[in-house]
Amino acid sequence: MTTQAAAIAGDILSTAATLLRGAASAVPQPWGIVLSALAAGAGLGADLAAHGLDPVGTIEEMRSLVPGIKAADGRLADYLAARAQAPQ
Amino acid sequence: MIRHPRRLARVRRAWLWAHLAVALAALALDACASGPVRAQAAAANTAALAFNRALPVVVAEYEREGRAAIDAACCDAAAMRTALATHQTRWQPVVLGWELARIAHDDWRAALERCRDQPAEVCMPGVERTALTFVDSVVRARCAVRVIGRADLDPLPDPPACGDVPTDGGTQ
Repeated sequence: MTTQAAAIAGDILSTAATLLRGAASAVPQPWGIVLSALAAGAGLGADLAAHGLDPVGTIEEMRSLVPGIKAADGRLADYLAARAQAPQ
Repeated sequence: MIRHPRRLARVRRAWLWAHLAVALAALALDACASGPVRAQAAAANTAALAFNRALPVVVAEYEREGRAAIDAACCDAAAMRTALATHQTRWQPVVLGWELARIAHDDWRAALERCRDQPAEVCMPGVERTALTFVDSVVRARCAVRVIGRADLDPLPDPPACGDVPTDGGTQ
């Protein structure tokens, strides 16, 4: 099942939840409660589809070593200059 | 208002079945949605975290060794400059190895990003290819730190296969 299909399923569940909630208010009890329960379940499924089915997620970016090395080179140059000028 | 216990029990069962059905459907969708992609993404994330954690340590050790090289040649300015240049040259393969691994990791990440919009069977060959390239570059980077005698800077625990290249530090 692709991520796109999971997103479509999430949309379907979300729509079903909306329809069920609307129907729940229009039918006599206890069926209204049953439909509300189904709506809540569908809403839960829609949330899971929206937030929990992305297989890629967040991938950290690997940082470059160069800026740190350049900064260290600058400090080393300063250190060398200070050592060269320091009294023996 | 529900007055009859039997009806209440039926409603409760309906509620539980509805939630169970939706939860099972979501789990089924999750199982279909690319386990291999998820595993590769987790590996790429973990690898970057490991390298990024090691980065400030590598920089600090580079600077510490540089200062030690300057101190050892103190205090003639020309001698100290030569010692610093030798130190910088010695570390160049380490910096280069790191940058090549970073570029390979960027390619791996880009291949995984394509999996957000493509089915796994379409995006996975590119992911696997870029992952292997990253692994090769990491081995070279790890071998580079070991060649200069700094196995302690290797961000990963198991020793890499560095071929015939001596990794005992050599001589300066």
